Amino acid sequence: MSMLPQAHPPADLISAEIAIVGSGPGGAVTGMLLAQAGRDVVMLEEGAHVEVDAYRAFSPEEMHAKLRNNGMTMALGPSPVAFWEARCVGGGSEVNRGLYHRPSPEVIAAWAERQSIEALSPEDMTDLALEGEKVAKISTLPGPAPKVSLKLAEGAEAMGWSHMEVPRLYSYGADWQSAPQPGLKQSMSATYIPAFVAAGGRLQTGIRVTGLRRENGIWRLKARARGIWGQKTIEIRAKTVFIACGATQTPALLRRSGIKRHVGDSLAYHSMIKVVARFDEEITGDTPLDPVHQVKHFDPRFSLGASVSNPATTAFALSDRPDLLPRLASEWRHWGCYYAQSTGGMGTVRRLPGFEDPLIRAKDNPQDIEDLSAGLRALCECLFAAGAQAIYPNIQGAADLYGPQDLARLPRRLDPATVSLSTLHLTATCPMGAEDRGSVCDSFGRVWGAEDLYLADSAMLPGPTVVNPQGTIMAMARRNMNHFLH
Amino acid sequence: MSEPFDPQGFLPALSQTLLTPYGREGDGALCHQVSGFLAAQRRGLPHAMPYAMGLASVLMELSCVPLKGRRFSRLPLAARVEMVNFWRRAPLSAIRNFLKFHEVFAAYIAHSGPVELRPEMPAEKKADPA
Repeated sequence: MSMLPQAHPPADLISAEIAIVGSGPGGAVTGMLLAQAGRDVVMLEEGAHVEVDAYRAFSPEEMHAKLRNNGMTMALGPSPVAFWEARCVGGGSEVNRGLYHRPSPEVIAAWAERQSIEALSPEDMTDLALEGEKVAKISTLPGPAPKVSLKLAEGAEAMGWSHMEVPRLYSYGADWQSAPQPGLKQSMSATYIPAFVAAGGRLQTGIRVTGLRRENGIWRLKARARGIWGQKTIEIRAKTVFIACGATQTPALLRRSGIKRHVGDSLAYHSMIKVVARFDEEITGDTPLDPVHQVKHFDPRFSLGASVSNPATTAFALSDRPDLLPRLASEWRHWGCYYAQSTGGMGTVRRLPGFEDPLIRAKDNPQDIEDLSAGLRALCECLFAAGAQAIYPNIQGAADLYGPQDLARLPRRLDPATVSLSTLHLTATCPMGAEDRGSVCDSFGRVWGAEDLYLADSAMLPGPTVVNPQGTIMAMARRNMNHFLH
Repeated sequence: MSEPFDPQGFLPALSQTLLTPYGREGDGALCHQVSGFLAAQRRGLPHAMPYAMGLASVLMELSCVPLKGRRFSRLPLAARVEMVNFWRRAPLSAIRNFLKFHEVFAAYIAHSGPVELRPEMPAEKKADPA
């Protein structure tokens, strides 16, 4: 089966022993291990296959080719939270920056205890992550980090806070400085999916599964196939189904299929607020490498980080400060984008009858706003310690800050109505665990009350990962697959 | 500088107006690009939001008649800039948010370099058949 986009419509009926819905980090790991074990697997992906380096990262072209709703997804609520959700082969791994953390031992231990999850240990998860790193390589930057990133490290150093260069799922060649793109992202479409196809797995793109039901021991998936040839309704039949469409689409599919108990009740996400800091010297555009530093000193309450800081992405970081946008073209090399990220965002996912997209609601969580406010203050302190001349918080009507003495001008507690929050890390809408712990699936991803139906993505994680979640999702999918196969 | 831009309709007129802070309002190619991108982003919004955006556009287009004597898209550029500044301070947050949505994407495209978007799939549909 080719990995190319489907030029012709698929058959009206596709049969396989196992169907996987979704091809992101969870689905790709699951698919590769199943195919390598000799199972007959078909992987269904709603989006298209787009080469990992086909577009400039964060460009308008990439946004339209790889993101659901052209990147216009959001959780509604007291403070709407914008987020990007991938819709392409490889899922979220294709659109993130590839920052990679192994599963946090503290988080894993807490999950195991709180959800009574069998045989889940931090040590095993680390070993599983190490196994995964043999397929998708991780590495630190091949040269000096960009100044915008080093400034964060410098500030943290001055404050006495722990910080780190986060490794990335990237492979750099010796010619990274002269190559059109500095390194190849080890996304799913460049690593696990080719391994899945090489092992005999079938990948079908342009297929959106709209519902599933079980009849006579077989799962029947109703789907809409779409391509340049048009669209049609098809059916997929499989004995076993793994759902891995991500933290919002997985609960939406379960709910559309009549599986509702606890489904979508416990969305967790990392809330992010941005600032732009101006330095006397030029700090961006000095290298094609992306910022990689994070301050994890305050984990698990919040963390700080440096973002990609080109003129286009800085425009987003100033969404609530349109007064600054006219200066962007002439001053951007002196401006760096930074973020504070808390870990207590909560919400729900529900089906909205008549619409394709589920309704995602962000709940008011005072503790999360408290943490984010503290994170914003710490971020500004850190940047001033690194020599920032001015800091522009992305808050409606906020005062510009010109030194540590101005920190008092920051709101003590952020008003959700005046800040633009965003997130990339959504999890826990169908958590795993013991049946009496509000879980949707058991300790190994099997959906309670449904035979041969499993979850294999960020939805099954029991809570926020505190670190960038891809490493945790992949390790958990590998763990559950080892259990399934053995 | 590319060919002059003659805005036809609310969105092209708004796009051109939002490029004035960058001195790019005379760049016809960029105005077309911004207008096209904004239209695509609006179509991509979930649920009934694309319809809400359309309705808001009609209301804002017509709201200029009592204030300026003409629809927004028929106003000269200077008058459109005044209207945008007026909306920016509007007491109704929906109007400010509407403007913010367009303003941020206009800035994003203005600073993104040449943009070549792929055509949308012909059968793209938002309604859920399930």
